[in-house]
Amino acid sequence: LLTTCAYALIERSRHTSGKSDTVVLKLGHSLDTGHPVHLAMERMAERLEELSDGAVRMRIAPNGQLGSETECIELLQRGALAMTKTSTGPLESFIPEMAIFGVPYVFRSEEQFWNVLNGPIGDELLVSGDDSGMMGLCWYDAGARSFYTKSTPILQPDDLRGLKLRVQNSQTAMRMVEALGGSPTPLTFGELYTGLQQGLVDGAENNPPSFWTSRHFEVCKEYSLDEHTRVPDLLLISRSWWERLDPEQQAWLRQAAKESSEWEREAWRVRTEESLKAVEEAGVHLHYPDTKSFAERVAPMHDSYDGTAVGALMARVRETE
Amino acid sequence: MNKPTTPLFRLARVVERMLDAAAGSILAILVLIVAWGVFTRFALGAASWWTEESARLLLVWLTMLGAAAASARGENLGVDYFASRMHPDARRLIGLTVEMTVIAFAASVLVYGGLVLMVETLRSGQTTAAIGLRMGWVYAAVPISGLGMILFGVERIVRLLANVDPNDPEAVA
Amino acid sequence: MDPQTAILVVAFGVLLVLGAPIAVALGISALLTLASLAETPACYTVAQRLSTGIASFPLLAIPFFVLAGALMGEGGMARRLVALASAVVGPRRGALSYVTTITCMLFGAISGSATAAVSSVGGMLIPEMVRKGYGRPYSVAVTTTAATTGLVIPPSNIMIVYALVAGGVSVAAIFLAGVLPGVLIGLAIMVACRLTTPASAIAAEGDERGPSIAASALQAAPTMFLVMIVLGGILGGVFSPTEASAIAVLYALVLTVVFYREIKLTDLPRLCVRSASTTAVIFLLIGASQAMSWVMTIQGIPQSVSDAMLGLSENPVIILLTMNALLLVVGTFMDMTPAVLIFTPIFLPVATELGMHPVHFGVMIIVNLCIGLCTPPVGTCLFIGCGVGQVPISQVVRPMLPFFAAMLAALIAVTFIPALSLWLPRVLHLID
Ligand code: NA
Ligand code: NA
Repeated sequence: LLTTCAYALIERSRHTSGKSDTVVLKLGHSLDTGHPVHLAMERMAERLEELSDGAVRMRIAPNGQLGSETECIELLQRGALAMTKTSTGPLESFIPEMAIFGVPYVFRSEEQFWNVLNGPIGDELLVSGDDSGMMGLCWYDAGARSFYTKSTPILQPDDLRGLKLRVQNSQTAMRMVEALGGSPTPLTFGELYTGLQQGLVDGAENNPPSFWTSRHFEVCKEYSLDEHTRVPDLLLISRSWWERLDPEQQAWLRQAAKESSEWEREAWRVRTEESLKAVEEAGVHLHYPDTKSFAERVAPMHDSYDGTAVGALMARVRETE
Repeated sequence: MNKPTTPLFRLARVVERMLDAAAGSILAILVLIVAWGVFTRFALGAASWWTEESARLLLVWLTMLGAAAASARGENLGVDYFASRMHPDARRLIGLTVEMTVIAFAASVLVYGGLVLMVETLRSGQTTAAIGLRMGWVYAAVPISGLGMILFGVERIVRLLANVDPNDPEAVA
Repeated sequence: MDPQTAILVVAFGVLLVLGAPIAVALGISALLTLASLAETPACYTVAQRLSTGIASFPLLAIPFFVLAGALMGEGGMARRLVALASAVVGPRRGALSYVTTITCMLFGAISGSATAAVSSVGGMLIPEMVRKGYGRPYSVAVTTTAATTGLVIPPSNIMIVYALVAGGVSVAAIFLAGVLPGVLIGLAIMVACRLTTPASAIAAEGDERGPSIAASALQAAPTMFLVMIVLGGILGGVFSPTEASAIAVLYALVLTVVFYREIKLTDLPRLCVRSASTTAVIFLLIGASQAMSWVMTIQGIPQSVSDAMLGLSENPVIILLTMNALLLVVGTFMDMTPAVLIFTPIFLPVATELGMHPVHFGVMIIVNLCIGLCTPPVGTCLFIGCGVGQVPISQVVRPMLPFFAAMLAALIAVTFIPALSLWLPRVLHLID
């Protein structure tokens, strides 16, 4: 036993002293291997190896093998994990400003949303985790979230009245559904299919590809594309790992991330179209409600952020074209 | 035969009882919390926003405090097949090695690792999604559990050296 | 094998053989492996994986089922099931061995663990069987093996643990998948009973007539109603498994304290502390194995094992038999919970590669390890059975052999007939 301990320490010193030629960045995330974001990160790994001539590599562990999104962020902050992909939802617990993406109808259009992300606001948000040991490398598109219900189409906010809608277990998500007039029911994703089937909840909300892959369309026949929120994904790197790289390596990483982000936006667009077509063929009715009345309904929720960091950010978003 | 020191023995029993009482109370509270969650959904028609998360987080405390108390009684599952067929002297030596490993685990992972976990998480200001609690307070259970395990580990070593069965709390009196 | 993997395997193996708590062995070997990598803060990482791994709502069902089981065992619910089973079986040759098996299955359908069944059902029926001439070792053998059906028949704590480590497996689906295999094991044990009823038991039985089926069913109705609440509630989507288990605690509490008056309010703190302690031991183990599997993933170990096993043979039957043989060996030395926690991440990728559904694999690994619960040297059910029946382990091994054969036959059926596990959850659309 003592020998094993001693051996572990020798190995450790070998690792610290011997300047190794290659850096392996381990990335953990919760998506399956068919997801556009996973595919984009795989391309990024290939590109990085190409740019660095094999000196910087990424090793990706999908399916939450290394922990949930929140757990991976924690590990990343302390340098136990080099990289992770997360939705901005769990990031709210670490960086309060990220809550802006959970507030409905902050963005006027998809175009404005991307102008914000690719502009100064997006860049500021990428480095906003600086103090807490993490840094954003790029944004990935995760589309717009809309309501799907078993039988009631949501054409105007009043249609939500009395409906039990599943939300993620977060305060912003609960307030969002309440603001629109529904009654929010927090439920773990794994229990959602049975919950919908047996009437525990009347509906849920998600983007078209998730609606398709979760097979919730088998139970929910009305998909109302009210596009209330746009919650992007974010690729994070641990601050301590970032500082271990030399400027040239950092530049390669940035370039590979940027290229994968561009590739993913296109892949996501294609996937969204395919998913909508597929659910429609499976007998789902698609509805395109006028979002104006929804946006008016949430004005009090917007006002409630006045004087907060999120409120200040929302004001700047409004001024972005 | 020298008897184990009495103050250490008394302290260990008091701490064990406190940890047990805390873990048992948390279990009772958990039943009520989850039942309240069911009640609000059926009777009040609106799901409660705090029950699931608080129940999950209390589970960390239940485990950490309960596992420390269980270690006082040698209840943590192990494979004693091989050690039990050894000569009594060898068995005692193995017992001492095991207790020292438990102390090493408690000191490095639970006390040191747990303290870093707690302090760093408190410093980063991370909060839980639904109730907005500082996550560091959830992790505070880890170093507390580790301190308990170290205390019981030392006590069991003293008992082993005095040739008393470490799993029998009455054996000392 | 790279140096890190060697450290992991050697440290874990040595500590296991020395008899250290498995949670500590897992934690220390994960720690040493990470420490040797020098790029991760080792103590912090193990502490984080260990404590966040247990903060799961589905896992919360385990302490509740443990507590409910303690209430049911002490509160007279098991006794009423015995009466019902006796009335159903009626006076016939070997009646009491069937009564024992059926009671264990009924008790299994209301509780989540096998140990509660051995201690409460065995406590009542082993002395009764001895009185009727079955002999102590035989009586213990029947009770011990029959009690394991409670882990396959839902609700089942070990299935909740499996669903957690397998990732993305619905607890409701695997619960339902266990129904037919659980009943199958019970039937196989009853067949073994019929073939091996000791000669001394035949003459002594069949002379007493108990209450009618209707009367005893009425007596046992409030207890059986719990099955409706728990399973009906989960499968009907009224509750999540965790909520159902909390309701089971409240229901068992009202029944045993208020109606049967067999548990006093002053007993409750003791029962809570004992259940909390049982839970904490299991959960520390779950946390530690989460730390271990994190390190294994970082090291790419499951992938290597999977590649090696798939390279073993072209024939999936051979691979499945090898996997079962390995698990049987593991089961003889290791308790069920650590075995499921440690071997699911390693074997599940192999099984899914062979086209096996994760729910089917879960039922298979659990049925397999049920056998291990009854084998020396390490078998929780065997230990409790021998303790309750006051008989040394060495004497039970021989009468146990026909029952092992019955369980093995059930295991082969469960392994190679996927429909046994998957048909019910498919009918209810819990899986594709
Ligand atoms: Na059961
Ligand atoms: Na065994």
